[in-house]
Amino acid sequence: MVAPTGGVVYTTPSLGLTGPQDIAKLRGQKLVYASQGATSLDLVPLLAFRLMGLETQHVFGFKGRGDGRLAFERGETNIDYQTSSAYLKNVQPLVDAGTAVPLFSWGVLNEAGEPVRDPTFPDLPHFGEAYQMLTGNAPSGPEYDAYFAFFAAGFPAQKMVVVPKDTPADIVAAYQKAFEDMKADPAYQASAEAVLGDYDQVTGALADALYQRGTTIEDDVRKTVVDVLSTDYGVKLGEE
Amino acid sequence: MTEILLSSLTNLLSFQHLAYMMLGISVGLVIGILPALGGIAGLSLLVPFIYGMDQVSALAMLIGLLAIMPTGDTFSSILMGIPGGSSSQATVLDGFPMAKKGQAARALSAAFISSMFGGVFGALVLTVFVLIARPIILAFGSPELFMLALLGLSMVAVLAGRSIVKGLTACAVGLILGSIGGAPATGEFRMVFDIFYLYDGVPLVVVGMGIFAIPEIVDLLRTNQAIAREAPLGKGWGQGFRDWAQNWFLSLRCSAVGCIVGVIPGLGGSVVDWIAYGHAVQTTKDSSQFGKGDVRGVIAPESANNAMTGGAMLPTLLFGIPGSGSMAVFLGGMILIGVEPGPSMVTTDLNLTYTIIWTLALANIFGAGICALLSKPIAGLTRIPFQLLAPFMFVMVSFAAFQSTRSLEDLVALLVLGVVGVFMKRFGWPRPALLIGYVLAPQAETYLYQAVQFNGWSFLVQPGVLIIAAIIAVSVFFGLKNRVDESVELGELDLHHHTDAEAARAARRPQFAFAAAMVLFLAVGLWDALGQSFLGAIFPGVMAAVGILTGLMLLWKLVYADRGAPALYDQERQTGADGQMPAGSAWNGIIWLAALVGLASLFGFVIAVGLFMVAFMRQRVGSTWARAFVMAGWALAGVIGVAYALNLNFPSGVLQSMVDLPWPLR
Repeated sequence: MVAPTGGVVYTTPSLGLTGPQDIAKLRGQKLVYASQGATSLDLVPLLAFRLMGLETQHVFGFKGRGDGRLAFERGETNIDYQTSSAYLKNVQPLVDAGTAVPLFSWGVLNEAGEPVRDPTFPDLPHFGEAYQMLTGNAPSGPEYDAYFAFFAAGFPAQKMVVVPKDTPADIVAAYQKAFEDMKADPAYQASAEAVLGDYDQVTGALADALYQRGTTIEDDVRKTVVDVLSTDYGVKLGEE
Repeated sequence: MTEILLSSLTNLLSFQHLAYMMLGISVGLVIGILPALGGIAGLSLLVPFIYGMDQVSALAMLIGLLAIMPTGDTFSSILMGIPGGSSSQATVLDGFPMAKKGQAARALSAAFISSMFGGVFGALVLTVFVLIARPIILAFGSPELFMLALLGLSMVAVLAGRSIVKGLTACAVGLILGSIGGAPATGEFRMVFDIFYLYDGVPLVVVGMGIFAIPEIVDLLRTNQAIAREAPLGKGWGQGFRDWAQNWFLSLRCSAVGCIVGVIPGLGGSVVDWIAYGHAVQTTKDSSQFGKGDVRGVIAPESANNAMTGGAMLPTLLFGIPGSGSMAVFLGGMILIGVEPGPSMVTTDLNLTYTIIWTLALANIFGAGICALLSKPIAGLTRIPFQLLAPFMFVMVSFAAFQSTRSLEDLVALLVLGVVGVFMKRFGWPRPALLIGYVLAPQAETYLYQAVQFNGWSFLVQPGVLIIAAIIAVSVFFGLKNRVDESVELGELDLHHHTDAEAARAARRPQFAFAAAMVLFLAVGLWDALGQSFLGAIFPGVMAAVGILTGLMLLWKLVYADRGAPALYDQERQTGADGQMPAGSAWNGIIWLAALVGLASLFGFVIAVGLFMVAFMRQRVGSTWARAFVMAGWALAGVIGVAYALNLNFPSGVLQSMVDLPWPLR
């Protein structure tokens, strides 16, 4: 079983934005982002902002996204993202109070493996749409492949249930059936959305596909990212 | 607001909720008394049971456990000199000397009253403060947090002991020790030497145990007496209460300090006790008894650490940011019962917030009461001849240290730091200075880096920064005036026993060698920093350079200073209070610890404990085989029982890698 999640990128109204449609105004502004480190999950926003051509200063050393949100609320940073549940609980009140402006969600993958709007945030564009609003083109190219590989591992395939390799087939089948039964359970359905957001827990063949996506990476894509990290951020990952 | 306050209180006072709170307190007490098993272990034990409980009962249980932690861990700090938790470290400084003087009951009762007062005061403050806390928490940005880390470091001035160069060098060693592992700014790894264990840095528990607990055990083992020697235990209970009553204002101030430090996210509980302790010393006219058993040195940190637990709730409740490891587990527990922390905690969910705050107050009152009842029988531990207690303490300390990363390297690190601690104690190096440096290194570095990134160096003139800078200046001024010396009175150095200058020089050699080793460690730190990128190198590089400078000054003094200079302090060449030279060798205790670690690496921990106990009882105590086996049985039963209840694992050795054994032996 694979448990997907999502996230929303938001900024502050002091940069002159009122909603996602104003994203082009971010161009040329100096953005500051509180990062947990270039080799953490924050690699996804790092690659995303880079791809969009946003001039972003990544300040490292934050211990979690909550820490980063605090820096945003203190006004030390002006762009941030939170995973869905934290966004709903802690950023939505800021948006309502007019001190934060949502920009786009990371999106989710549909059955064909293409990025679509996040069902938890149907009104927000996903990253691909936001990119198109900004540049006029759909995102493509090696840097987009690099972003996409890490996005897939970081969000739609974020948490997976795995069993040891030599587990007998009947036990695997029993687990799979248990997950299917759980999804069919009315009690689960009643409480799932509040706790997990509007995401389907993925089982079966689709889960396998996500597992493949999330754990494999093309050699050239890998090299692109390693190069970016070493030239721009001085991170050496032990490969030449 | 008053209405919500009262309704949450009546809600809480039902039998069911109180029963769950008592359950939490009981579990917390048992785990709190065992050193190094803190809130994380306790909460992890209880969290699985809260599925399906109603919110108030579940919160009552979890908070009952959290509130008792800083009270319960006082036992091991005072009675055995083992820092029971990260916020009870400063209690050891005066609490343990009191126990040695036979005043264990007095120290404990003063500590529990202070804990209770701190906890209740913290809850009272929070009741009002929670409504206005949000903007205040947001006012503390990276620059202010960096300055607060510096304020913590400035406590070194108070705790530096007799020789300020030793204090500064010890602090630098701590800073370099704390910067081992991933650099906050760049993620590059410092001083890891391809040793996998060091990539995550040296764990706090291992440092605390190695620097504080091991030297005490080793020293006590040399004399073969009970901790309290021949001194009577004394009634003490009423005396401790009177001590607190005389110092109620100090207790109040330290509670306030604890509350504030807790509220500010990112500073953490491991400095609050030192700040409170430093404050107590700075504001006392006659500070000569601090470090030797002054009851104010117990009252101050114990008032602060319970108040801090309350304060630390606020960032967790209002922003969903866990201030510590145990708060992270608590946060997970809250989400399990459907309480989502966030701004709504002061609006729609205000009743829950008040339930939490008032449970905290109640749990503190009940907890301190229970501890007080237990203190008499438990204080009896200090009457047991130490050689019977010592093997158990070695086992307990190693087991606790092993819980940090659950690898055998924890034990090796404990042994290495233990040896360093023994020498620091012998040569009068202030151990708290090293610990403060170690704890604050990552925080100071991270916040400095962030502050410069966000604001440039102009952050230094922000109003908040200037205010804290002024506080630091005052603190250092009073700190230097009232310095604390944990070593005994500097008596006549026995150099006059040596008739010629040659022998006097020789007497200084061990001390010189140790100081040189510390300088060498700093030099390695500097050399390593020079190989890093600028951002990863600047902080440890500068700190190591300063440390090397003070270290060289110390070395110079060790060669040229006149006899009687504070820098020359050496416990081995010092006549004790009873006019006797210390008996036996410090190496004896170290060798026993090394034996335990060595056996564990060969046969795994459980078998090693069995062999170690039997060998110790036979060899050291000279008991019969039967008695040796009974003692070994007790130790094994205790260790396996705790491990089973908390689902913990043991270090495994060479044997385990060859043969697959059933659970406790695995």
